[in-house]
Amino acid sequence: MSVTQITNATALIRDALALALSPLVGTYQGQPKAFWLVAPELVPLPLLVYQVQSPPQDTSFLNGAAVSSLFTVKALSSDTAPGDADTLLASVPAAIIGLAVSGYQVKVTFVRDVPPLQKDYVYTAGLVYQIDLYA
Amino acid sequence: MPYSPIRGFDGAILQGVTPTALLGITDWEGTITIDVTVDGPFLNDNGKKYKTRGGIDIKGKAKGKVPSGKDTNQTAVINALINDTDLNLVLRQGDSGAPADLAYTITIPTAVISSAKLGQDSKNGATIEFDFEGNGSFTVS
Repeated sequence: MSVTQITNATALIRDALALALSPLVGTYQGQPKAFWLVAPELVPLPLLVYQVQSPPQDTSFLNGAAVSSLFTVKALSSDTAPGDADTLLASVPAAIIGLAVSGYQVKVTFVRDVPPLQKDYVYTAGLVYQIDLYA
Repeated sequence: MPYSPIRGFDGAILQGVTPTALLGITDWEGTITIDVTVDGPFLNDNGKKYKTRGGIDIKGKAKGKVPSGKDTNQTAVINALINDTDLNLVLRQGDSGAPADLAYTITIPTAVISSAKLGQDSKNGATIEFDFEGNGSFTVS
């Protein structure tokens, strides 16, 4: 049996994160305030942004495809209310640990915090996760 | 024929009457040896040694990770050790789905599982290693 490498892991995980994180935030103009890569300007805070930290790398076993990658989830709030970002971020672990990708086994492991950042009146806090897919 | 490499993950170790691949295996190896009997040197023979081929044998090992919920085929290997039963083992280099990429396949119809090591590592998770030996005939194709 041929091993078919997982070449679209970034997109698969991105879509899974969108499903998992969207219920944690409100909406703006009908769209959840959970954004891939960067939040559009003028979206009211607080909100979530999720990004790939380290692109998927092949970690296949004999006769079994697998990839491993790092993703970051960041919560942003006004710098006058950093607690809003912290509270929002605190809801992420429970939502992300059950991440599901159709057709694959998923393993999610917390790696580390992202040091908080305060810049341009915005407070940012984040978490980095290792997300592995197994075919 | 020019050299064409085989991808690292295009191989497998399989077990059972209907050979089924074990999950989570990272590598396997098998060593084929023959017993060599040495005669000599004899007097007035310029110090020559003479060798006679004896029995042929195969021994090997495999390593990997144990998946959540275990793997039926890894369990079969452990049970063969514990229950003193032979096991059909197939060790394959290359991709069976692409015959041009298939290399050597070792088939041991009545392999003896001689040891198994299970472990848990805080960084790498649950692991398995096992050793096997031939018991009678085996083939390399």
